[in-house]
Amino acid sequence: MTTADKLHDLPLTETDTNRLEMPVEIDDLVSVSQVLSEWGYLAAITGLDHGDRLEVLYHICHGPDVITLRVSLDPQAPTVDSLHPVFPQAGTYERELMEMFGVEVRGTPDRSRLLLPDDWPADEYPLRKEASDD
Amino acid sequence: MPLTREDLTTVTGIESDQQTLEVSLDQLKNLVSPRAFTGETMLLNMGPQHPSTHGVLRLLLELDGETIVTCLPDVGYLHTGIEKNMEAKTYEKALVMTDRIDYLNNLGNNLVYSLAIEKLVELDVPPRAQFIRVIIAELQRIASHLVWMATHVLDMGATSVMLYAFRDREYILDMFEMVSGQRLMGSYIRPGGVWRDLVPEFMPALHEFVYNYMPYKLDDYERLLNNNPFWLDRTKGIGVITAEEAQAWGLTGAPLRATGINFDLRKAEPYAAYPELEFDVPLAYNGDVFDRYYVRIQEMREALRIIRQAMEVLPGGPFRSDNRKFVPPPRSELGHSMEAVIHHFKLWTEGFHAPKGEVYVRVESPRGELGVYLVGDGGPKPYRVHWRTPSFYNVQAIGRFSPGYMLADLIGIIGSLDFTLGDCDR
Repeated sequence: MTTADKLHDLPLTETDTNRLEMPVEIDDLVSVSQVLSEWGYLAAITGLDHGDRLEVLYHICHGPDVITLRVSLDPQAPTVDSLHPVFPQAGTYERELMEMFGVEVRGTPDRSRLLLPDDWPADEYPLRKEASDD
Repeated sequence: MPLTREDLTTVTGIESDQQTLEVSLDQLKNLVSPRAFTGETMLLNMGPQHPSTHGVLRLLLELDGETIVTCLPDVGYLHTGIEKNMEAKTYEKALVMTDRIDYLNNLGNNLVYSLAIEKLVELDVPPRAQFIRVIIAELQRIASHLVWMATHVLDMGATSVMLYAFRDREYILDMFEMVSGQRLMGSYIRPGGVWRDLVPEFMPALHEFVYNYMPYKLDDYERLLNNNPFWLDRTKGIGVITAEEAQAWGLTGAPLRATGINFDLRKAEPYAAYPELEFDVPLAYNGDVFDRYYVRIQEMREALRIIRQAMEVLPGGPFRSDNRKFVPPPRSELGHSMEAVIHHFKLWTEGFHAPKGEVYVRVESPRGELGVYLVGDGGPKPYRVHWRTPSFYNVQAIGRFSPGYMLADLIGIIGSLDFTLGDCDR
């Protein structure tokens, strides 16, 4: 099966010109990423806080096209698997995701703080919506 | 002699609190080789005050003699929480923060953020503004590459190139001051177009710069460096990145194009007036420090070529959209039009409301793929702005591609990847 065939089987929806998207279950994330890693590179991991749920978006790009994998998580105990085995660079974004959104990333090699200072409180996640002054 | 906890505290700079120390030791165990704990190799802390780390970057190095065994980049010293801050501002007011992300590509950051807003609210931009944006973006590319060259070559010991490059960058900053009133933090490119029209003295200055000044200066730089045995010794075959690895590690910009991969977002996913302009994407094939230098020098030449074409075909007409729902009216209308006053008041107090939606917009910054993921929730403030900054990846690449080289070569590798830590940390 070629990469093109495998991509064809994915339930992608076009949201905009050159922008494709698909929802992914937590358990399928690594296997779907494995397919996409033959096609493009991981450009970014975006965290999104919708209040009642957290979303993690994985943007995988090739040429003008961007495929966004959308994983929905429970904000009380958000956990995803690390994409480090698939994309060697993913660990850096996962460190950011852990400290900014409090998402637990299973199996990521480096769990230390990336951007936040060492004395930042352990249970405060600044990019969550609840962490606002107003 | 085995390494003690105290030694490690000295090296890592982590306070001698017993608990944090335990954690830091455990973390290091997975990241450096076991030989570091027996004293066979040395741990060395480079930065964050080291002059050749181009900002505030700390590298934890494991050295075997002078050879790098492990290199762990540590970033975050310039983290300013811009993504969070932008959520608390209206769309238009948050624009001034984008200048402060990548301090060598200020107006390019304005551009990508404006493009994202325009896509979210479906706002059209007049053709004149499209061409002005290209001229400004390419000038910014030259200015950024000049700072890269100045600091990179200075790190390798050539002071004269640094002085020349900063002198030439000053011409560009003068032109930015003409159009925007500011040398660095211009906030000139706004949603819907640009802040104001080009001032009359701008075009003559630009003409002089792109025809009579900069091409000859680029010749000078190449004469100074291309056949310089010291420069060649220290750059050829150093910091080699293969095409496969560059892609796997998400590198973009000159580090990727120096491996022979033709990927430039100005061609791949054109924006502004780039589809109407003719230019080449410079490539090199060895992926070493010299090739990254070569690609950037040629990019400056292409930037001049783009600006020349854009100057020739620069159309007249409005420089900013006249959609009053999103773009404030010109000052001249405020004196006699009640409607203009209402629009002005509304836009500068409450701001415009963007619809619900998510857009991901990418441009080719001087450092590579610069993306903005913008989420609107129907209100006047962005719900979430995520910046995909090229430096974030380029910094991490040091850790992967410097082991095996000498400590002195590390400085060349850092310089050739051309990151700014403001861009990395946001």
